[in-house]
Amino acid sequence: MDEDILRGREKVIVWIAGLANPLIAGFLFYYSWRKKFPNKAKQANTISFLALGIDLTLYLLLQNWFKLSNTF
Amino acid sequence: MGNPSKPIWQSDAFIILCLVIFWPAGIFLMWKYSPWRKFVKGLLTAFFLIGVIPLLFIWSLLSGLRGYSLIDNLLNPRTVNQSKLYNCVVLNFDWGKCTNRKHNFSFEYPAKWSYIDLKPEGIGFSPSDKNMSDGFVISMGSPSEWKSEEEAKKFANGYSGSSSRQETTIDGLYATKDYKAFSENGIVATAVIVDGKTTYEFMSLPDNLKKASVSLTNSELQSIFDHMANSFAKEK
Repeated sequence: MDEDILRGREKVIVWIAGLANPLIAGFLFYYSWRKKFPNKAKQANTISFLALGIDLTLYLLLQNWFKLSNTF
Repeated sequence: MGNPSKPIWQSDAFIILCLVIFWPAGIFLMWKYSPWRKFVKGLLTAFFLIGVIPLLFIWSLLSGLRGYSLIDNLLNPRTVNQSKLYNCVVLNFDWGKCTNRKHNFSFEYPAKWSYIDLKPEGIGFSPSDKNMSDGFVISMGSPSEWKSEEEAKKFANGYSGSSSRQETTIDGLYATKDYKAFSENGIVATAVIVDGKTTYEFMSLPDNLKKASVSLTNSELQSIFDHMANSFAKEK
C-alpha cells in the first residue's frame, strides 16, 4: 500500500513536473491523488503553487536581464 | 516511493511527469500502466492531441517563411511532375515540351528533369526531384502584365538603365538575355520575352544545384537554359 505522503523520488518528480508546467502538473497530480491520497494531493498542490511562484520570479528576472543586455 | 514492487515508470507521478515534459510518452504509459478510469484517460489523450493542432498551425506558418507550408500544401497540394497549369510531355530522349494552357505558350525542357508548379503561375525544373519546392534550377516565372508595351520592355531591359542585358528575338518577339556571374556556383541567367504588355521570364539558379546534389558544369547549365529560352513559342 502506498503511503499518503510525498517523499524521495516522488517528491523530486512532482517538483520537476511542477517547474516544467505548474498548471497542468498541479491539476493532474491533485485530481489523480485527491481521493486515494488526500495528503499527497495537497502537498503536490502546494508544490505546484510554489513552482508557479518560482517560474514567475525567474521569468521576471530573466525578462529584465534580457532587456538590460539588449540596452548595451 | 510506497510500493517497492512497482517500477518507477509505472507510478502515477512518473506518468504525470511524462505527460508534462513529453506527452506522447506520458499518453503511452498512462494507457499501459495507470489504473485511472478510461474516461479520464480518453479526456487527457484528447486534451493533448487537440493541443497539437495549434502547434502544427504555428509550425506551418513558421515553415511557410522558408517556402514550405503544411497548410498551404494541404489546401493546394503540389506534386513533382504534375502541373495544374502546364501540360508537359516528353518529345524525345533529350527534350520535352511544356505548354501553358492559360497563356498559350510553350517551351522545351530537359526530358529527364523534374518539374513542379510555382506560385502563382510559374514552373520550376531541376535535374533532381528532391527539395523541388525551393530547389529548382531553372524556372519559368509567372507571366507579368504591364500597363503598356513600353513598360514591359523597360522591365525586360532592367530598370537601372545600365543593364548588361542583350537584346534578341525569340519566336519573333522582343526578348532580352542577361548572364551574371555573381554566384559562386555558376552563371545566373535571365531571359525575358515580351509579348505586347506581357512578359515571360526564364531564370537559372545554379546555387540550387548543390541542393539537388547534381554536378552540372556552367556551360551545360547555360546551354540547357538557352535551349529552354530559345524554344519559347506562342501557341497559335
